[in-house]
Amino acid sequence: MKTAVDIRNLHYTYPDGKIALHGVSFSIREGERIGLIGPNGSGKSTLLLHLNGILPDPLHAPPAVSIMERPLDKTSVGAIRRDVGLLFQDPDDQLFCPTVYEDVAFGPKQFGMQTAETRAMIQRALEQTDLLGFEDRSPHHLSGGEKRRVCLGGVLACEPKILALDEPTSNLDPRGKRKLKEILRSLQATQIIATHDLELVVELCSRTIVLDQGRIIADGDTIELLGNEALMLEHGLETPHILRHRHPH
Amino acid sequence: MRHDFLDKYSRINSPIHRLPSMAKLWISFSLVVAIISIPLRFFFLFPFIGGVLLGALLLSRIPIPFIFSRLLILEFFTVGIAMLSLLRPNGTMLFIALMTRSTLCLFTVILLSNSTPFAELLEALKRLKFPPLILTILALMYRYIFVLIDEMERMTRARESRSFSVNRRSRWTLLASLIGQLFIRSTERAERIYAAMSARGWK
Repeated sequence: MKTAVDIRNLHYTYPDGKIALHGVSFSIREGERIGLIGPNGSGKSTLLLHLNGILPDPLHAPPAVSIMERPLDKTSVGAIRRDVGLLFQDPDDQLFCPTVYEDVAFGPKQFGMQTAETRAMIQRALEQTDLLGFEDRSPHHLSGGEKRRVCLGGVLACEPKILALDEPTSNLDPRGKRKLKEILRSLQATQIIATHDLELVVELCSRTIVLDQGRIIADGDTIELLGNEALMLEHGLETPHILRHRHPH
Repeated sequence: MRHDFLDKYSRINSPIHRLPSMAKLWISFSLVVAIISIPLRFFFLFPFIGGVLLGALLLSRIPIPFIFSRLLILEFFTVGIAMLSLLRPNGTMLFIALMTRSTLCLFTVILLSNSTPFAELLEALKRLKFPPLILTILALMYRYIFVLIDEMERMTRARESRSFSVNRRSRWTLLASLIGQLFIRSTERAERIYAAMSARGWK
């Protein structure tokens, strides 16, 4: 099986001098679903922005990141942005087109695909995210959960091999969360989910990476890590209830 | 929060709304060109054009006060400019001409933008081979006006819930800092939007 993501000794300092990532290394196999957890400001979002070369700007000379066994540098960044779909935290940042359809179609259009093929991809993305019938709506008329699904649709329309999701369940009501989980579970792509929603991690991810102050604190089996209450509390997290009472409801 | 007040009538159903957006765009464009280029000798044509526009307004079922309030807001700017012509000799005629032309033009454009959903208007402009960069800017502007209004509203509410004095001076300082905040937030948001666009292949 291929290695989907490989990161070797990644450092990043913000322009204002704040160190965001401090020697991060890990690798993810194709098809894995990984939870990326850690307190606020631990570097989760910054790490995700490195996966498709949005950061660092400009790109480092010896690349610290490899995607699908291809080093991320100036020549490969275009192709890698197709491979890695990034879901941003605030849906309003990501929904920049006047209608839902145009937004979902934005990616495929940028990658210069043929129209018939593009249309099929967009159609598939709309189906996967349960958005049929929303095509002509404008994003500012949608609810939070719908906006999130359109964002995901826009990402899925590019048919990425790797999905990097930043807080996919924040601000969603329980139904929205359930629906999103269902969609994520149905997808084949490798997924990295940065989140504070620890129950989501328990339900979806078999492996978890704990990040704090730009360093990887732990990397391993989700149940084992999240069940380690001392570790969780030390890094601003907690053992989710779902692990405390494991009895059938 | 929903902000429909900007163009809430652009999606209702009427004979005018059902016209193809391309046709409406062409008609409006020709009207504007006619209004600014008809010589003053043919002044009698202006009431006629006004009548046609009023007819279209009635057909469109958009509430008349809504359209006139829009017109009034924009009229401030044209009055300001037209006033300058009063300073010239024989300026009165020029003033009247300027006001008539600009009012009719504004009326046309307001009617167009309120009887056609913005996305369709953009689509029509695209088919007319309008420069893509301007279209992108227009689309982004329309998209984020609502987000900015929401943000402004949230900030005002948050401020109001914590400010107890009704002193006029402090009110103005608050407003100034709100506008400053909004500017900073918009710049940061612009950066995030650009990142999101790049992530999906924008070059």
